[in-house]
Amino acid sequence: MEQKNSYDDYQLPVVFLPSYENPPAWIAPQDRVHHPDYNNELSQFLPRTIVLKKPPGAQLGFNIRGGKASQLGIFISKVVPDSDAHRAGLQEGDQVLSVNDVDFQDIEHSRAVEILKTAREILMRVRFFPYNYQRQKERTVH
Amino acid sequence: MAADLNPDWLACLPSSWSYGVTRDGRVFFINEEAKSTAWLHPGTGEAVVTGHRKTPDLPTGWEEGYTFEGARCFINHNERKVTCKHPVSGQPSQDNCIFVVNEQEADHSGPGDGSHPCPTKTTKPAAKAPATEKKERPTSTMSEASNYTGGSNYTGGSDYAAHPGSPAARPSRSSKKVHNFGKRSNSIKRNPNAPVVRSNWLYKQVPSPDREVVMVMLILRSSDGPAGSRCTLSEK
Repeated sequence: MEQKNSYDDYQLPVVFLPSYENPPAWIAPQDRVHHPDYNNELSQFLPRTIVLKKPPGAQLGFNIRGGKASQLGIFISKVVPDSDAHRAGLQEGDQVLSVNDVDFQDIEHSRAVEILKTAREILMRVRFFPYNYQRQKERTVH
Repeated sequence: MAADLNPDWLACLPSSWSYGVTRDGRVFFINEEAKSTAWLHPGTGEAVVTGHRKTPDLPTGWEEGYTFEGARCFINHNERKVTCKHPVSGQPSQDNCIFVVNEQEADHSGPGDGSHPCPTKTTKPAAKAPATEKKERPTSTMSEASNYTGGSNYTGGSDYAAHPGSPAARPSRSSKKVHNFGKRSNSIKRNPNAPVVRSNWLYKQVPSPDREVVMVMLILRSSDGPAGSRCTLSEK
């Protein structure tokens, strides 16, 4: 009971709201070709489909990170070189939007792993989104 | 794939507007006349890709976000502000019951803005039970907390140097699991005298998903554990 009493003094962690993050400031059109926040093609960030066939017992060829607990989604954290996943164009920083019609944007990590592990054929919707991938890595506790 | 190459929001941009894409994949809109930029689409009034989420209960131009620690907040793109109050209900999110959300460092309001900063909300912490009562926790508020603290990432070498109770090296994965329990026990015992940083450390280790993550890692090498939220006490 002594241990319990001492917890009465436990303080809730105090958090501060983040400041509003503005978009990049306007610059003249002729300067945009050199500006790293202006000279990006939209196409590289659009959703795309990856199809993988996985024989029983085979490795997936990639690692995932994230899940509901991290609030930012499921991301590909590593792709094994020379794997089918690598040849299909999967890359680190891809967010998994869905797998075989299951929405992955608010899924528990353990369930995501189970779905990927048990599927024989994976039809995966992904999009490259380094902003949230980076935010998630910064919040990872080692 | 044709639909993907031409997103709907591209088609209905007004004539003096264009869009930009940041290096990390977010989409913003450029008003060439006013020489300004915005996250909101000038036609729909909604953000397109910002890294936050639009939920159905939010008004136009609002999104749901999270603080670094995992507390829920709301982003008002119309006024370019962040708040912890839900714009419709006016209440702080129930998800924030494990945090004290302090808005002192929010952006300053413009002149004439009648909105008030959110009051500091304090909730009594869930009673920390002795080990024998742990099994009852999942039914209490701790199940909410588990969504925020999550497990640790085990794919890299773990660095516990910040926590004096942890040994420097661990020979194998199985001992990692054993050690994890030991660490939690040590953290719990040490709590009465620990500084705030250690209290937060304890907090991160308590939820049961931690155990689940370890088991998953043992079974399937290709997965990473979920990223946990780091509770940091801000100092002024």
